[in-house]
Amino acid sequence: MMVAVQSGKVKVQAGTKVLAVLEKGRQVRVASDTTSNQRDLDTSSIAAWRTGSLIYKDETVGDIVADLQRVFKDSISIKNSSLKRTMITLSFNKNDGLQHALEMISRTTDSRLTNRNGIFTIE
Amino acid sequence: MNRIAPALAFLLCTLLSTKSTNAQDLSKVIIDLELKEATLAEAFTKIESLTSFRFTYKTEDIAGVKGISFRLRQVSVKKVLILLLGGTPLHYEQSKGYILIKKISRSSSRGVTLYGFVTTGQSGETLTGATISISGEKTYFTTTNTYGFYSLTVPPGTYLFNCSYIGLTDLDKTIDLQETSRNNIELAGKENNDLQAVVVATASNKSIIRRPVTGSHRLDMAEIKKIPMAGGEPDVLKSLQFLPGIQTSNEGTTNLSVRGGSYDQNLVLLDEAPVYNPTHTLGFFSAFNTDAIKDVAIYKGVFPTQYGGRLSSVIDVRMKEGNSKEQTVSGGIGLLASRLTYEGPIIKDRSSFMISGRYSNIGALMNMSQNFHYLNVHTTDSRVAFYDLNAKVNPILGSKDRLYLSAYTGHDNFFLDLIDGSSRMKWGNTTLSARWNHVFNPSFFANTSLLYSNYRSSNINLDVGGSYELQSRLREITLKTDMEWMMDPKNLIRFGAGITGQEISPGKIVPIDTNAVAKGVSLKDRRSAQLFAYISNEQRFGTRLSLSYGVRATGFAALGDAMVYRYNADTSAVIDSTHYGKGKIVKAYFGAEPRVTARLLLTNTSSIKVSYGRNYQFQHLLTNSSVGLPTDIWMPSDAWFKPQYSDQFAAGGYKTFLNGTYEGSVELYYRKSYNIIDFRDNAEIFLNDKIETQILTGQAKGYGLEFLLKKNKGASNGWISYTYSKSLRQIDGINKNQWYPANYDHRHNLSLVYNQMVSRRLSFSANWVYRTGGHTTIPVGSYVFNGNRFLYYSTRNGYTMPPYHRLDLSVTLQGRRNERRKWQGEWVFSVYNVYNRKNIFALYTRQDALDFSDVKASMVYLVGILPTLSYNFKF
Repeated sequence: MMVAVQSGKVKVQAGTKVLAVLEKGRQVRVASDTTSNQRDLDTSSIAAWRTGSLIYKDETVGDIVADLQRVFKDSISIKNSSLKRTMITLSFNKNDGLQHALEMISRTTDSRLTNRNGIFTIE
Repeated sequence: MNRIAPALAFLLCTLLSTKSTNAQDLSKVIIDLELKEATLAEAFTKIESLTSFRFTYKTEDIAGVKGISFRLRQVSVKKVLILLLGGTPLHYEQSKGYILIKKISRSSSRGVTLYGFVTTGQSGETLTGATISISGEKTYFTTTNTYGFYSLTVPPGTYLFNCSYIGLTDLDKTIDLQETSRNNIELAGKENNDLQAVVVATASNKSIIRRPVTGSHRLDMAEIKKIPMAGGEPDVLKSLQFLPGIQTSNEGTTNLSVRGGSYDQNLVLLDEAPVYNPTHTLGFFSAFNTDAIKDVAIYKGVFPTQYGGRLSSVIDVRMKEGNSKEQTVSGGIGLLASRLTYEGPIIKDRSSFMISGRYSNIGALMNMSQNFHYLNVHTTDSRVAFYDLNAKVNPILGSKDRLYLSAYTGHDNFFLDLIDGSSRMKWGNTTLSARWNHVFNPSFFANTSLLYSNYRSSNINLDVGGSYELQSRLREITLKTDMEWMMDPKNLIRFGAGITGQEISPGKIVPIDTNAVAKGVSLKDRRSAQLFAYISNEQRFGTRLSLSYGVRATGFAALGDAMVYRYNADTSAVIDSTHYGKGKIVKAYFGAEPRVTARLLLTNTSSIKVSYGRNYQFQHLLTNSSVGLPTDIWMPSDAWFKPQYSDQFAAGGYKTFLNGTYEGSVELYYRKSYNIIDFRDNAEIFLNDKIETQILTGQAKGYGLEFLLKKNKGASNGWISYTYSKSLRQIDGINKNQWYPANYDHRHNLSLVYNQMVSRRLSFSANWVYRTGGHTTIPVGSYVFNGNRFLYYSTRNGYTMPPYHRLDLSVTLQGRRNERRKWQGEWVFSVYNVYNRKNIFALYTRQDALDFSDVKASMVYLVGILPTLSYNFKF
């Protein structure tokens, strides 16, 4: 999971454990084992999200796909674990649809995209 | 208002939709970009902030690219991408407004092929020898073949594609090559025969550096037309004489001596059909009407294997195909000749036709000038006239097939009291070419040609004893096929085969008057056949070394019906004879011609080349004058005439300077020829059916050093060429068996060609030539034998004539440009031999009719200062 702050101050907690207190322009990435990782980010990409743009800068394919699932409420599975860890940059307009976003990811990473019974698979 | 509103809305929609399509066109989105020590990621972010394009890439792929600094004003995003990605292992792919940056996959040896035809945008003519280069991490290079076809196989990726041709604007574009694709190119810019000369000349400079061929030049019609010529009549063959290693074999004529060879050792091809006598008016004009010609290429020694049949050179002249875009009429009216050409599409952009004619009547001019005492011609019944006609049709049969049908015919009528008052000559060539191009697949191109050539000449003798006509004729037909196979990115294989049949009627006398002394006599026809095949490979080794190697093999057979004589030791008497029936093989020869050229790139702009080649020639020209007359007879090899052959070694260095503005080359050659012929002293050749008894056989050698510096771009352009050369012959029985210089042996040879654009309408050209005099044999005394006085001559070609030099100037003024009017006109004022140098054309001696001991030597010079005005037009 990822939390990014465009303005103000945000506290990120896992249960009672405070993982981070973020100020404007910071983001934290929280892994499933609740380890976290903070970094700076470009606030324009957060603003862009509101206007329909999805901007992922140097993110892993796994994170990007997880976010896309959340945005588009669709099922996407990645077969290859090294692919999940591959870092890419992707700027995308939501209106162009999930299919197109996934095609770009698969083209960039030289992987194959299939859609069977409404479930996207990247392998 | 109500009516306007929908219109406005429509207009607005149109504008908006245009904008949105443009917004995704990489070449149409223009930005200013400034980067300082930036990473590639930063550069992309910057472009994203300036445009609506979005980038997608793998972080690790672009991590290594940093330190980018540049400042660009008003450039397209496409250009920016080319600059950013050039030299990196990355390429881009576009999908709507998204740009994917990817590493060029090196996963397989898979190659993709880019192929197509290159034409001019203006008239649709195919372009021969256009340079194609595809640059990514490595640069791949090729030139279009004689039909404008090219094929390049490269690894998949994004490349910077460049196509260039001299005189036309370069085409640069980025191509994303993921699969084999057809890419036909139209080059815009100044066109060959466009009178509105806006010179955007860029050199196909890489060709001279990269092609593994030595001793080759290509001249475009635009270049040829700029060179001032006698009578303002541009000339293909005379223009070649300004290039290094190519000299006139006789002053003022189109006969060429290439690298010390005789002029019958040049193969002149018009749309692939051989032209046996490519001259008009005894060689003062070439047989080619420049308005009907597209370009000319010359190979000076080590030929590509698809060429063969002569020792010294191959001159490959190509006719225009005709404008496939629109109908045009062009022409010119000059002092010595006038031209008219009509061309146009049959089906627009698919097929075209061209018909062109030229007529000259110098005789009428001479007869007229007699009245003004301008020329020193003591006759008013001179008849010096010629015409030629070219016609061509080019139907495109489909995306894979194209047909070219062309025809040429030209005839001369010559009677000039000044040269020979007792005979009248007529001669002419006819050639027909039918060629079929077929693209088997993107990397396999084939051409099949059916070629016919006919040469006729006649000499009407006007003796008081009765007139008769001496006729001779040569007919030849060839069927051949040539293949080009781009096997992989490293190998380009060319192979082909063909058959030629030839029939020569060496001489036939037809009495004209009833009281003619001569009876109808005819020499036997000489028939021969040739079978030939060749294969060569142009192979790349790494990025610097390229090797072209191959062999051409020819089987020749002299065919009956023929009578072969055997002679006694000094060939004074026949001791035996054998008759061969029709179609029987009298004598067969086989010739294998290995040819190899190596090219080593030193830098991107310089290279060195070394080459060796052997050439065979299965015919000799029997000529008893140094000038070369239309009545000279071609003689195929037979039991007595062995085929001539030569070995040539050539090496050179090549360099382009200042971004291709200048190109320079230095070439060195050495060649040796065998089985060359010459006549015995006092040879009797008139209708001699035992001509072999009058011939002596020997060897020739020549060597030389050639320099060429050429400026291709800019308002002033031109070239300087210098040749140092020596050409010698040795024939047992001539000159006491010692080596002697050939009559066309010129030690130093300097040419300057200069063109200057003064304004859009006005241009100026100049050329100057200097060459050491040729050689001739002159009488040094006389002696009396049996009561008759005979002349005693010097050693063969022992006298060196004075040097030849000449300056020609021309000024071209184009008519005002008027967009609404199609008519374009230009005036050309030219002055030939500006400082009136009396260059020797021939040197002859004549014994006084009354006192034979009184011998006078005369020098004949042809043209003094000759100003001419001509008008060219196009509509």
